[in-house]
Amino acid sequence: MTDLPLMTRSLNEPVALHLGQPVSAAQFIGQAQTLAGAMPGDGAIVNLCQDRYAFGLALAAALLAGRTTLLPANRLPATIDDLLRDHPDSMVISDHFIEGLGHRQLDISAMPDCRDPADQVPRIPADLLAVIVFTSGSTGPASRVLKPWRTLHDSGLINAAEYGPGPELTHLVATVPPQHMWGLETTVLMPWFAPVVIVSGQPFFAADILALISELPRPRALVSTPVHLRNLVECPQPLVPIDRIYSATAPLSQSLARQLESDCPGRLTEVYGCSEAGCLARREPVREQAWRLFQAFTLVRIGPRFRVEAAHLPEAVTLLDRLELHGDGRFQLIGRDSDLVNVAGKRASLSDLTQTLLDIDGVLDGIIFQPPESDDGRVARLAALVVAPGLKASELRRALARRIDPAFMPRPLRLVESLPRAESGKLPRQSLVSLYEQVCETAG
Amino acid sequence: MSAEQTPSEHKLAELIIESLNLEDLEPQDIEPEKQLFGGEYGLDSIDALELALAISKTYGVQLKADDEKNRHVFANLRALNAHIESQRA
Repeated sequence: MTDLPLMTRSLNEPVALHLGQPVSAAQFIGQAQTLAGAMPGDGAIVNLCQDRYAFGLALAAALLAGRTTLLPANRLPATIDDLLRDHPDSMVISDHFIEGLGHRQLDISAMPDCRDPADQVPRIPADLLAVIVFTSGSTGPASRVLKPWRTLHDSGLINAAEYGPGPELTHLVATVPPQHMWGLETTVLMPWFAPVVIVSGQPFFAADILALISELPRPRALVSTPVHLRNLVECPQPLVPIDRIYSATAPLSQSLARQLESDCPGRLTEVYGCSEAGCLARREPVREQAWRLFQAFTLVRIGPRFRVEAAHLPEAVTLLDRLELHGDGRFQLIGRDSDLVNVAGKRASLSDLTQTLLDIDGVLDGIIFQPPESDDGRVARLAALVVAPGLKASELRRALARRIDPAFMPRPLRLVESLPRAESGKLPRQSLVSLYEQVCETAG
Repeated sequence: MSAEQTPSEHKLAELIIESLNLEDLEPQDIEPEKQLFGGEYGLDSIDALELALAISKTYGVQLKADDEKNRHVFANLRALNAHIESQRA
């Protein structure tokens, strides 16, 4: 059976900066081995660690113990409950004790100190099912993406070659959670395969990001999203030099991209991917519009859609985005299937969300939809028009807030007398948008 | 404790509504001691970022998430307003 190394770093190289202290690959692996030996049972591991260092440690420990890591789409109690019900022999690893879980859990922060540093890099069976990523499912069951160790290992090497910060040892700070694919590949796996020191912790506000980065030696890099980056640029505090900036989850505007490169100053790379295939293309938006597909991937046209194939993926992946392919292998993104929306990196189906709205007592008709886009760089929120004669907007909001992720909460949510449905019962986009503009104008 | 907004809380409520595009709420709809994030107002972490930016521009106060206090600061309108006033003083 083929096996592949846990990492390609040398044992004496630093892989993390944890609580201000550098951690070498040997120390990291030693700690992961200690943790692997302390995990009871032999089922899957639900990794709920919020601290990036703890998360990486728990992932490595699970790999060493030959156990699969489950990554839920979010941390909502209902999501975790569902996951544990479906995987009764699994155990939870977290970096703090979770109240009221009613399931076996290991608090990594209460772990004994590490045994000796490792003296070699362990190897992991290539076909070990390393991770199952559960993607959001705005409502209803989440879908599962399977990641054998071969896929994660090769993604780590591919990403390091395609957009890694380069030969010089680079400190990496991230504003994205380690559980989602962008954070997992770039902030957890990248330090295992590229000369990168990941800084544990997850700065949130602009002031936090700047304070953390300014303390680090250069070169230093930031892994983030358009939302955090816009916030950073608009913050009244002066920016600090950031040598490499990485953005994913949604396209950056040209003006924000230019401003970032000139104000930081630094080199900005956008990365495109999805949970199913991982990172698969990049561009430097200040200098190019089209995306460059990573060399390991091939795009195959299937009707109106595209499928990506790569040797390290367990199966080909059909992309949700529509692409326009250029002759030179580059491509442009030209939108999504209209039912699927992406709000701040979270995916949802508009028809699922609308069904959730219609299931509320007292709602006679209604729709949740994407209003026409404004171009102010903000996260585009969803909107709702609802027919519910006995209900107030605040009651509807309360009922919805219990059922859907806050990212998808429609705003504005407006009560109307009826929806402009055609005789067929369909709701033509044009009529919907004009009613929406009309009610927003009256209220504004 | 009073559920009435003080004048400075009302001003902050106006900033919240304006900066987060909550145009179907009125400033007085934001109850001073009701949960601001994750509750019925439907505000999430991205709103927290937007709001922090608006607060830094309007009040010159930089919000930070790196201490335990932060949960409390963002708990509701009253706590947030009290935090801003203490930072400005």
